[in-house]
Order: sequence, then structure tokens, then C-alpha cells
Amino acid sequence: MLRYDYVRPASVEEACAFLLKTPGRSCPIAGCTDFLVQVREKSARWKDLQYVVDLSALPELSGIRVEDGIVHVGAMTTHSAAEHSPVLAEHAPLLAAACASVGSPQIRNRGTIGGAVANASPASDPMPVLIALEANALVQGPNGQRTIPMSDMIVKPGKTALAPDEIILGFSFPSVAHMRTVFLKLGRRKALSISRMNVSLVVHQDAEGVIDHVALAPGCVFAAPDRARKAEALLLGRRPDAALIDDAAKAVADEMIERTGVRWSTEYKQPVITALVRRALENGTEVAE
Amino acid sequence: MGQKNQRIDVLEKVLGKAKYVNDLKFPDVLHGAVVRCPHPHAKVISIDASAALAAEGVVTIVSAKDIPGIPCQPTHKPIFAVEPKYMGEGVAMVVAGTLEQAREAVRLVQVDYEVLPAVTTPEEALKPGAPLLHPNGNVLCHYQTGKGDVEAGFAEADHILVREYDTQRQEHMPIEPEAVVAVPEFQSMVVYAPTNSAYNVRQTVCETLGLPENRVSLRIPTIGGSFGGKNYDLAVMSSRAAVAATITGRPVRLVCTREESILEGTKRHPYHCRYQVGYKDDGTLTAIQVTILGDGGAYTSKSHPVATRSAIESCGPYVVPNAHTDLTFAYTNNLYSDSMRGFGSPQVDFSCEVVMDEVARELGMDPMEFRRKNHIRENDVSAVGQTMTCVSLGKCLARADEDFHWADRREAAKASRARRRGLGKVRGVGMALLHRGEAFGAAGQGLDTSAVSMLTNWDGSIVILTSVSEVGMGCHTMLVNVLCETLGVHRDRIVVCPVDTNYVPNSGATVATRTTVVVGNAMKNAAQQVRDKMSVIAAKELGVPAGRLEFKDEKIYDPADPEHFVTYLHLVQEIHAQGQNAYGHGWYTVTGLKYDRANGNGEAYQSYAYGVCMAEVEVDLATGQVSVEKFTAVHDVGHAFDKEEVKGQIDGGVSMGLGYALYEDLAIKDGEIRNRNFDRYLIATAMDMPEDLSPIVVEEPTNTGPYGARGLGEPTACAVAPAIVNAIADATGCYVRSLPADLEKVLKAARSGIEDRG
Repeated sequence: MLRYDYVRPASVEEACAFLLKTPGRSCPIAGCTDFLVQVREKSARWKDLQYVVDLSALPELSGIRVEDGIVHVGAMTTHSAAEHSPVLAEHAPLLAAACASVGSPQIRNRGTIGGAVANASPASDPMPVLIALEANALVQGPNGQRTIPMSDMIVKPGKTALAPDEIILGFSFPSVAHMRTVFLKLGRRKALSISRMNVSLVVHQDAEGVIDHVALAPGCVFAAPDRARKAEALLLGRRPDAALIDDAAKAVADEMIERTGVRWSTEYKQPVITALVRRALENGTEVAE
Repeated sequence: MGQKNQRIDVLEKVLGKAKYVNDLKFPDVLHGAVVRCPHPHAKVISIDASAALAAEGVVTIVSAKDIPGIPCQPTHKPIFAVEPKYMGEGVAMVVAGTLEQAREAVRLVQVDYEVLPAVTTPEEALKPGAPLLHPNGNVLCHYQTGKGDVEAGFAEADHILVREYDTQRQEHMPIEPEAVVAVPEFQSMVVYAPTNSAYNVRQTVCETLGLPENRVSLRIPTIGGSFGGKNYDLAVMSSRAAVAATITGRPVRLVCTREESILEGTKRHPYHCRYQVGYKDDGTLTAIQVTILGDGGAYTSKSHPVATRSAIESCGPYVVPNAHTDLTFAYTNNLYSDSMRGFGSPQVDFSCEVVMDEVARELGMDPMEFRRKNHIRENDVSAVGQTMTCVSLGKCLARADEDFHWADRREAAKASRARRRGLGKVRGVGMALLHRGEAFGAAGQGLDTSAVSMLTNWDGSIVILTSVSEVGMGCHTMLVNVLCETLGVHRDRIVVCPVDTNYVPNSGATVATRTTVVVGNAMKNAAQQVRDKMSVIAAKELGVPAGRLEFKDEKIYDPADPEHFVTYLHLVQEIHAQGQNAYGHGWYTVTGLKYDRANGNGEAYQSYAYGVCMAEVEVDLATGQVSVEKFTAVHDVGHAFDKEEVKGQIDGGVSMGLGYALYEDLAIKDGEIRNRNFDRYLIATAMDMPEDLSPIVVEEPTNTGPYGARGLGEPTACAVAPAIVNAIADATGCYVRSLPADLEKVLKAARSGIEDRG
């Protein structure tokens, strides 16, 4: 049975003040698509919970806009809103694609990007995208605002770098309208599927075809979503061809094993992440003949 | 939306007026919550309810000692266990003023268990020295079927192929989890239970309460799906609620959460099958030997008829002179296996249809040609020695081919693989044949009989009295259709009485794809009685012999002179005016089956359903992802009372079969279930359905069903998985021999297929 006090702060300051006052006993809530499931399953994460703090009345947390080449996405942006955003379609299509692949229409209408990040699931769809976009989270606590690079956001599965009295206001990243982007997701079925693995890629080649920017973030591959730095290092400054793409793809699989060890799932994941990364690179780059 | 063909229950459902069990309100109702055993095998030493009884709202706690009658039949699941045999089994129930109070108090009940050794695989269960679940050992049942001499058959063979297959434990997953309300009345008990089997549930409640059957009324509210699951599970829940209602004198409601439904409810039996097939160079079959080991779980339930059906159907619809099947179910400390749509067919349909495909591949034969060569035809003898009649496989195959264009698609799929060697997306095609015995058959338990009554009122309106449960597939509408066809009346005159075992006769359960054939015949017999009464009067009035009369569009006439008629309403009123009744009481019994149970040989079923499934899949060789792109499902229903209804039934069966093929798997380890809700137990979604799905209705009448109709409910879900898995094998070059064909297994097949192809 749910027996929590419900708080709906009218300002971000009020929200942070309340969180500060109730350490470990309150949880900011957005769409609740993860939270309610965890509560129902009696997750240890919420064993001391007394208050739910509804962030839906805070206008600072909503909206998608672009200013001076920087895209701002409010934390309370639903997956549906992101999926259908003309701004994201132009400036970060892979984020729209990732959000479109989450759950079902009902879940996408409720669930938010901020909530997905705060939940810190290792199988999150938007999370690796934000890392590949080199996004920063703008967060606010009782002592004011700070930014957290998304690559530092997930400390471990289920745990973010947020202090208990901080809330995410939104995310910002440079537009990648002039770059090529790819989001690939592999699920166990075609809908309502948690990622078995996913790949986010942002890449740019100069006039000669040399890769002068690459961010490659595989999901469900490392303990927490992160960039595949070894593969990126192989790619940067090179003109991609089949052999290079193959090497980079294998480097992601190697890095996975290096960082997480060999598990029961490795037999499947090793060849498949190699293939997915290869596909992402083939789709995302102009390959020299 | 033609009014004429509308289902009789559609309006109340789409308008939200249909009353499901949780919509029923009762004053002073109490709520139950079950205390469950956390061990796969244990003995209850003591139950300390004092803390729970002290909790707010708690009225009482009931357990085995409170059962007035018997806890269960021997080796069946007890209402409350004293020696729980699987994790999650109920040992007691808290009864409180609100559901929340009851569920909270469950945690306060202190049960002291002696943990007993458990055995959770059938292989382990049959080893000497394994912990025993029941006094007579862990062999739940053992059946053999066949004919001829398999050793001689193998000696004649040019080749022998041996393959092993595994099928998984499947959950029914109806949209409505189990729920009941028991309402005590003066010297009697009324139980509201959305079951597929009113009379069987009533029998269990009566045994539990120690009451005669006329003191318990089992009423069926609108049901949110069953798929075979709302049977003994609901008998147990109804009995629990009834015990508590007896003790408290107040109505008691018991509702399962989805997790509880998965945790305690019955499942489809998992099988391990070994097939040995002997065949000649030209593809002629000489012998099939099948060995099956199934996991019956902790209790007997309906394992016996499931097992016999599997054994009888295990060699498929093929001509084979020598066949032998040896099937064993073992008791284990897993949750008990029971009836689920298909009832023992899907496991052997998968195994047999895949092994036949493998034989064709070994021979380098087109799987279609192989099946055309070997499938049974009219008057062929089945693998259990039955002479088969009304066989429509040839027709089904032809219709499937017309829609699917097997040879063209097979060529195109082959070309897709030639283009994309390596890690791309490739296509493959697969097929499966289906034959399935209708109703209980000679190997079933008990007589297969059915009663249906009809009351014709003076104004011409009609009430149908039947206990058969409308589990969502439209069987009440089917009865209305049978009545209309027999009596020529309009549908809007007819109402089906809600099921209450004290008001309606026993039509038998909505199981075994028997409803159309068996209950439909009982309906037809009832309507025929009324028709006969009317014929006497009409013949006299019209001056023509009764045998010449036609009943159509509420007019009764000689077809040679249709302008000269009497109306249906006139005849109803004339019957009443003559001091007679226009009631009918139809009875139907399946008779005349000569089956040798000991040797598993003879007439196993009075009739069979036939069908063909064809699938085209796209397999991503790099990831193991499978997408079913095209599916053709042909089913011979003998006579379609409503074609759209039939197609809807086929679509649903494809969806369920697709989940069985690719996704569904109850993950149970050491007796503990890991996936207890829809988030981890994956069924097929609408998005997973084939973009191009053709449900095709064949109407080749039988000589048994009403108007030649055959059953359809279960066959639709039976041959889907083998068609898909065979298509995956065509795409990858390698067979997935264990269900479900998930990402990992398909990738493995794809990789070994690549190696096979060099």
C-alpha cells in the first residue's frame, strides 16, 4: 500500500529546501514510470521513503529550445514530447529516436528524460545518447546551481552523482545538426522492450573525409553508460574504411570485456555489440572505397 | 458493423457495462490475502496468527484445520497445504475488512516450517533416492501409444535421424487475474468465479465445504480471458473464499495480484522430447519412436489427459507404419502443470513438425514436398491405428499455398541469403501441419457429455440455458447461431442465461476445443425438439409432410411453395394455445470410440481439426533478432457460423503461438520464479504481429459437429511455433531445438549455420 505524503512545491527553491529538510525520506517524482514499479516491488531504495515531491508544477523544468547553437531540454520533457520535437529532429535526431524507442505510448506520455536519468538504469535509452551528445545536466540544490557532465552522472546502476537535495533542471548540449548521428536499439521484442543493448553515435568528417569528431556511447555494455574511448581513439583523425570500422567495433567489445569481465552473457554480447557498432559506423560515416 | 453478425456480448463489453467479478459489490464484504510458503518443499509445523489477529481490521485467519470437508482429492493440490510442495503455495488466508489490511497482516502471520528436501527437475525426480512428493513415487503418469513394430521399421530405413527438443513452461497471462467472491446464504453458498468450468469448480467447493451440490451455486460473471487457466486455480480460490465465508458468515472476496497469479497458478507442462525417425531415400517414413519426459509439477491436476493427448498426437498427421511413443510425467517441487490452450498439443506439434522439417532437409527435399508425400489422407491409418475420415489436410495445404506462394517465397528467401552472406538480415520460410483430436476423446477422463436447454416464451423470445463458459472467444454467440440455423429465428429474439449451476444444466467445461462440437450438438438437439413440435403443427396447417418443411427467416414452408407459409411466432403461440410447451432439452454424448488404453491404440477421438501454418521470417544474423513478416494460418472449421469471428480466433492463436515461439519463458530456478509480471515475462505485443497475416477459413464438414462444424480454439495456437522455428532454420541453416527461440539461441543457430555453410 502506498502511504506517502505528497508535496507539490511551487518553486525549485522550495523543492530543494524540502529535500534538504527530509534527507533520505523524500523522492522527487516526475512521470513515475520507474518509481511506481519500484515501490510496488518494495525496492530497498525506497524503504525509508515518506514524501514524494512532485516536480510537475515547476515551469523551469519543461520545454525544448535552442539558443546560440546550444540545445536545452527541460528535465520534465516527456519521451513523447522529445520524440515529436521539431527542435530535436533538427538538432539531435538521435535523442528523439531514443525517446521514441522507450516502452509504450502510455509510458512515453508519462515518463520524462530527467526521470530516466535520475533513475540511473543501466539499460536506459536516452542516457547513452546524452553522453554521446556530450551533454551537461544543470542541477540545483539548496546552495544554487551546478552542472554535471552526463558522462559523470551515473556512479553505478541505480545511483547518480546528484546530492539527495539536488534536482535536475534540464540538459544542454551543442547542436549536432551539422553532424551524422545514429541510435540503434536491440530489444527482445518490437515494442515495450528494455534495451538488450543500444548504440549512440555522433560523428563528423571533414572535407577530406577524416573523422574530426566522434562520440560513441554503447548502452548496457559497461557497468554504467559511458563512451567507448578506445574505439573513439582509433577512429579520430582517420578516414573510415571497412577495416577501420571493423577494428573500432572489435575495440568496443574488447573494452567491454576488459571493464566488465567475462559473464554468462558475454557469449552473446561480444559478437552482437561488435555488429551493432559496425552497423552504426557504417550508417554514420562516409566510407572510403 | 453488421448487426446480424455482431457478437451477443459485444455491446455490453464495449460500453463498459459488462460486470466482471471485481465490479460486483456486496455489503459487509471481507477481503482475503493468502499466506504463501517461501520454500519449494516444507512441512507446516505451526501457524502463529496472534500478531496478525491483533492487527487492525483482521477478522480471522483460516488454514487447513478450518476446512469442513476434505482438503482435496489424493495427489491433487489442497485448498490449504500442510506440506506445501512448491514455492508460493498457499498455507493460510488472512481475512480482513479491507484488502490493504488483509495484505498487511499476511506479513504478521508466523509460520514455522520444517524445510524438506526438494527436487525441481523431472530428471532428478525420477532418480532413485529422490525426495518423494507423493506416497506412490514421483512418476505422475506413464503412457504408451503406437502401432506396428518400430524395430522392424528402423531396420527397413535407409536413414535414422535422432533429435531432442525442449519446450518451456508457459503462463496463461489472461488480462484478468483470478478473482472470486463467496457469499453465504441461508444453508447454502453462492460463489462468483470467472471460471471456464462452473460444474467442476462447484464440485471442489462442495467437497471442501462438505455440502451437497445443490447447496452451492457457482455463478460465472463476465470473464477476462482464461486460456485454460481459470479452472482448478479458481476451484482452489473459490474454496478458500467459501471456507472463510462459512466461518465469518460474511461475503469474502479473494483477488490475485498478477504476481500471485504467476506464483501460484498452473502453467503449461515443459517437455523434453526425443524423436527417432526412420525413413527411406525417397522420403517414405518407416518408423517413429518418441520418448517424452514432462514436468508435471507438484500435483496431478489434469496431467493424465494432457499426457494422453500428447502421446496420441506425438507422431503428427503422417503416414508411418510403425510408431511408438513412451511418455512420462514426473512430480517435481515446481508449480503444478495443467491445462493451457492446446492441452499437450503444442509441445509435440513443435517437436514433431521440426523433426519432419529436419528429415526433409537431410534428404534435400522441399519441406512442402516432403509433407505432401507423407501427410495422412482420407481413410489412412493414424500413428495410433485409427482410420482417419474427413481429413482435409490436402485442401488446407492447397489454400495455404494459394495465399503464401510457398515456392516463390522460398526461392526469394534463398536469394536473400545468397545476397547477404555473413551478418545481414536474411529471410526464411517455414511451415507446419496440424491435426488435433476434438473434445476429450477416448483417452480423456470421464464421459464427454453436454446438456443445453432452451425456453421459448409465449412472445417468441428464447432463453438458452447452458453452463458452458463464455471465456471470450464467442461460444455463447456460437450457440445462438446454431439455434438460429436450426429454427430459422432472428438472433435478437435470443438471450443466453447467465451461468448459475442451480439454474442451468451441465454443458461441460469450456475446454478441449469441445464447445462447438459437443455443446453445439446439444444446442442443436434442443432446438431440434422445438422444431419437431412446430413441424407437426405447421405440416398440418400447410398440408405438407413435416419432413419437407424449411425453417428460414421466421417462416416455415415447403421450399417448393415458399409463398405458402406460417410464421415462427404463430407456431409458438399455437403450441401454447394447445397447452403444450415450446421448450427443448438437448443432450449430446460422444460415443462409440474403441480405444485400447493399455496399448494406446484405436479410435482416439471422434473427429479431428486440421490446419496448416506457413511463416516467413527475417532474421538478423548479427543479433539473432527475428521478425515474422508474413504468416498464413489455414484452419478447417468444417462450417463457419461467423467467418469474422473465426478469423479473430485465428489471429489470437497466432499471437499466442508467436509468443510461445519467440518470447515466453517462465524463468524458474530451484523452484523460484524470477519473472512475475509483464515486464519480465514477455508476451507478443501488437507490434510483434506479422505485418502480413492471413487467417484463412476452410469449410470441409465433418460428420460429427453441428452442421459439420469443427472446433477451433486450441488448434490456432498449436502449429505457430514450429512454422516460425522452421522458417528461422531456413534463414540461418540451423534449427533452434529449444523454445523460446530467443536472441541468444537464434544467434547461436545463425553462427553455427554460417559455419555449416562454410
